[in-house]
Amino acid sequence: MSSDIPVRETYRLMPPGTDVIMYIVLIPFAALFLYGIYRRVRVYGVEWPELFRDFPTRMGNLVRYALLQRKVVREKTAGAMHLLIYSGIIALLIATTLVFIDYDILRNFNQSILRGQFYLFYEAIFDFMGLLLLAGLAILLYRRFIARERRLRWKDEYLLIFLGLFFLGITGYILEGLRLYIAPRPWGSWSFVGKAVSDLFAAFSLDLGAALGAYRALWWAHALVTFTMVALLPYSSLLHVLATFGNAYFSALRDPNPGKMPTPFRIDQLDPETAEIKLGARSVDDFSWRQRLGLDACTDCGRCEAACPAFASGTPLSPRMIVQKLREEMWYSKDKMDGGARDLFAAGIIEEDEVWACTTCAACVEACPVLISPLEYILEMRRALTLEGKLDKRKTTMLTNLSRLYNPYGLPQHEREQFLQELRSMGVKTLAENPEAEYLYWIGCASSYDARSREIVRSMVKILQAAGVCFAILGEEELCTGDPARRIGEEGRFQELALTNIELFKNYNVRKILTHCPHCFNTFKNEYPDLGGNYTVIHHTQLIGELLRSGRIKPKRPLAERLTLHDSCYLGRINGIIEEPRMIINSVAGDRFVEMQRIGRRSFCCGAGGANYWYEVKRENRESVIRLNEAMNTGASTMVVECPYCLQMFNDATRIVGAEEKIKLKDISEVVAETLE
Amino acid sequence: MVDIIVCLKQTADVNQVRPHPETLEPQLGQAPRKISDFDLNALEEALRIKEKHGGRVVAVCVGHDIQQLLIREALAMGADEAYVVSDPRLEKADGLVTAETLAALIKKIGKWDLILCGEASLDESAYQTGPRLAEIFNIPHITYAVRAELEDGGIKVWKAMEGGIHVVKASLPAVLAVGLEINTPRLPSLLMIRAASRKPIHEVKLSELGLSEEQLTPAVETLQVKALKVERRRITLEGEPEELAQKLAEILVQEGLVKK
Ligand SMILES: Cc1cc2nc3c(=O)[nH]c(=O)nc-3n(C[C@H](O)[C@H](O)[C@H](O)COP(=O)(O)OP(=O)(O)OC[C@H]3O[C@@H](n4cnc5c(N)ncnc54)[C@H](O)[C@@H]3O)c2cc1C
Ligand code: SF4
Ligand code: SF4
Repeated sequence: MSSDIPVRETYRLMPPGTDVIMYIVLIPFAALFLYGIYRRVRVYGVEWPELFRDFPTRMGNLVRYALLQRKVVREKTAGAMHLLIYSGIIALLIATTLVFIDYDILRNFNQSILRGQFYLFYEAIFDFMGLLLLAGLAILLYRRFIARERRLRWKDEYLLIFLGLFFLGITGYILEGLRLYIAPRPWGSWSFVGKAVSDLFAAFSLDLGAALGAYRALWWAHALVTFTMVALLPYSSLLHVLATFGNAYFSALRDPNPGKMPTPFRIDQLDPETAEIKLGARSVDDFSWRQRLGLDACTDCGRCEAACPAFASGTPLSPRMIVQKLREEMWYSKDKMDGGARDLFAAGIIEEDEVWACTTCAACVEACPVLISPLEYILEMRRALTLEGKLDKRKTTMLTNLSRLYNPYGLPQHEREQFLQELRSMGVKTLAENPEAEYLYWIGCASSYDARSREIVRSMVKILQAAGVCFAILGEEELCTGDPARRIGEEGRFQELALTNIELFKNYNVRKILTHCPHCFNTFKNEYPDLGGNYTVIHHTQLIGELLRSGRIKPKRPLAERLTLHDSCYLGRINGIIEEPRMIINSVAGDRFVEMQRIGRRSFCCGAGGANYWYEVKRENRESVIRLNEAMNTGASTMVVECPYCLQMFNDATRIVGAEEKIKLKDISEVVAETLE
Repeated sequence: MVDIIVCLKQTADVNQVRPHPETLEPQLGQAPRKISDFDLNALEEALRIKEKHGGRVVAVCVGHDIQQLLIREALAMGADEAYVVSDPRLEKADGLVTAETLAALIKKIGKWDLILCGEASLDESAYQTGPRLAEIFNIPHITYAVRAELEDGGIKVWKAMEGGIHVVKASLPAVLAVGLEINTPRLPSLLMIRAASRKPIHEVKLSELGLSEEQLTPAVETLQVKALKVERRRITLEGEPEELAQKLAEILVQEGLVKK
């Protein structure tokens, strides 16, 4: 069938009947593929009724993050690589599908789409898309062997996948070249790469018989490699192709804010006689089906690891390894038919210090291109460890302090008497004395018990009084919000504290809470609502920003120092408060404000979060020291923070590196208060 | 399989005891109560033995005004049941009375192989109860234990002494008094404490124990307990390091703190 109209000549050079044989050969591969998918779905234990809830949001996530890969492309090289390979493969898939429609369906009705103009475009476009695939693979080689990116892990499986893709890309062009060499067509040059290859064969005057033999052999090889890769998709890392779509779709089941931990029960609604005592995860079976599905979406890309402060500090934790190890365990334990997954800690799969090293900074959540939250797995494992209660001395002490003294410092309530006395002499009233106050100013444990952090309160009081804001404190009645208990996994203790506070707030009719601690802020704002506490929660950066904007406070004495700003995880990345502190610093320091490398959502943790302030994990370096060095590299003489724990961590860091003289640490309220004098 | 009795004392949380500003007497009633620290170590050790060898762990507690919640904490840690005697008469109990009461209570429980105590209690720190218990039962006791292992039907114990560690063995039944170094007690989570209400707490009346008046009369009478009032002198010395050292030495000699 050779005519003047360009047309796709499927099976042209293959012996008759090849199409039938090919379909027969395809059957076992397809069966293997389907069986694999079936197995995966069984392993997840998908709860189908949840399938279509919240459909628009879920589809939105699927389109944005899986189809359009909005997070993948945030990184230049890695993003470009993936986009090229991804679009190359998708294009080839579309090309093959068109052939299928053309040959296996339309041909039976004496119809054809792959002809004429459209066919010529088809050839040209897909020749081009194949090049994209090869370009992507070239970047892959570059990243692996020339740039040698540290976060890229080696598995033999990855080599095979690379070779498979490379083989498909190359043999596609060779087949095209051979075809055009054996049976030249006037429109051949539309397949510009194939044509070039055929010209090459012509230059060597390849024997036509040999060319035909090679063509047929290669044709089958190409088909078999394709089938194999598809068949092995559910059994290999290639599964991420599908799991990513699933994970993006179902990620809506997880709270979008990584600062809000799920509330598995309400302690005040539990019947102690009957309630099941189960919390957190000790085995992959203990995770939800969505979380298991999420594990399969992991591509081992290592972006989470590269962003992780605990990893950078040489602790045993890497969020990527957490996800990868859980994924392997899910495959392994479920493959063995001996029932039930293993205890992750007893089996030595996860080391306890891996989960304790996590500062819950959420950098991994931010970094993951496929919407996995390594953090959520870590927190569930912590809950299981804490439920069992075999914690080390420091953690035990902190939790005991919370239950006996209602603060993690373990200082008796009367320790703060003198400080409260001082505040009273500054004119600060308690809610009991001034029940009409607009704001409850929540001091927080750090500033109640730590001498340096008390300075923040003094500055805030100055600012609030200068602006004429009507506020009151709780005084002796203030307890911990419960954040350290929750982050360490002691859900019951957290809820006990939270419920006590909520009751107290109710008695005082509290509506607006002002706090300078991002952890208190996050807990009140994101976590109290689950327990029935709904308030307008304001961080002091927000209020100060508002007071400056509205002119209720005016900086009188401009600052002379160079300032840089550290975004606290729980304020910046987790709660999106990034502009406010910058606006404040700009208005008091103007052009003497210099930014660090990593800011805003990409800021780096001080190391205190997730209750890490209260215990030690073996490590080679400290997050606070790494970050302090970044701050000093800007040439700033003052590092401004927005969190009392950041303040303490960096203060310690200056002592560790002996930089007390070089860089000063100030809370943002202190900076503002200074300019008011 | 060993069945273990653990003696738990409820004491005032001494870190929260404040002396009365005038009389300087410790205001014990105002401080929250807790299980004496050493006793949590004893319980933890009992639980570890149970995890390894099987058996039951029974907590016993005698005193005045015993708080149920604290007993439940012990049950949440893993004790199987608890026996409690709560009676105002025990408020003034000393080591003698406590040991007699505990012994009478333990006799009611039935079979046991080992009694674990703290080496002393957090509030009164008398180092009495364990050895006295052993005397009443006429069985061996080992104190200051920092490590313990069951071995050939007996118990091998590492005992912290001033000169070093003594390793000793005793046959069972025996009394073991443990120190803080022996382990880190597990912390029962609140969820566990709630669930522990399913475990039995047996309340026994003091009168049911058949103790004589003599057994219930403390051998020691505490006349007075007072906090020390320490005032710093706040002496500031100024000058060059050499001079300062000279002046400081003179003061120390003057005060009789250092002999010339
Ligand atoms: C430094 C010091 C030295 C003393 N030396 C002497 C002395 O040499 N001779 C003397 O006669 N008196 C002495 N006393 C005083 C007197 O013995 C104590 O007041 C008395 O022993 C009180 O016992 P305790 O509460 O301290 O318990 P301890 O005997 O210290 O308690 C040890 C363990 O017994 C168990 N136990 C104790 N009470 C209970 C309870 N109510 N329920 C369950 N288990 C319990 C616990 O496991 C506890 O850890 C001394 C006191 C002090 C402070
Ligand atoms: S939350 Fe932060 S510390 Fe924890 S694993 Fe993720 S990046 Fe690392
Ligand atoms: S969890 Fe996400 S960021 Fe981390 S390795 Fe897996 S895919 Fe990459």
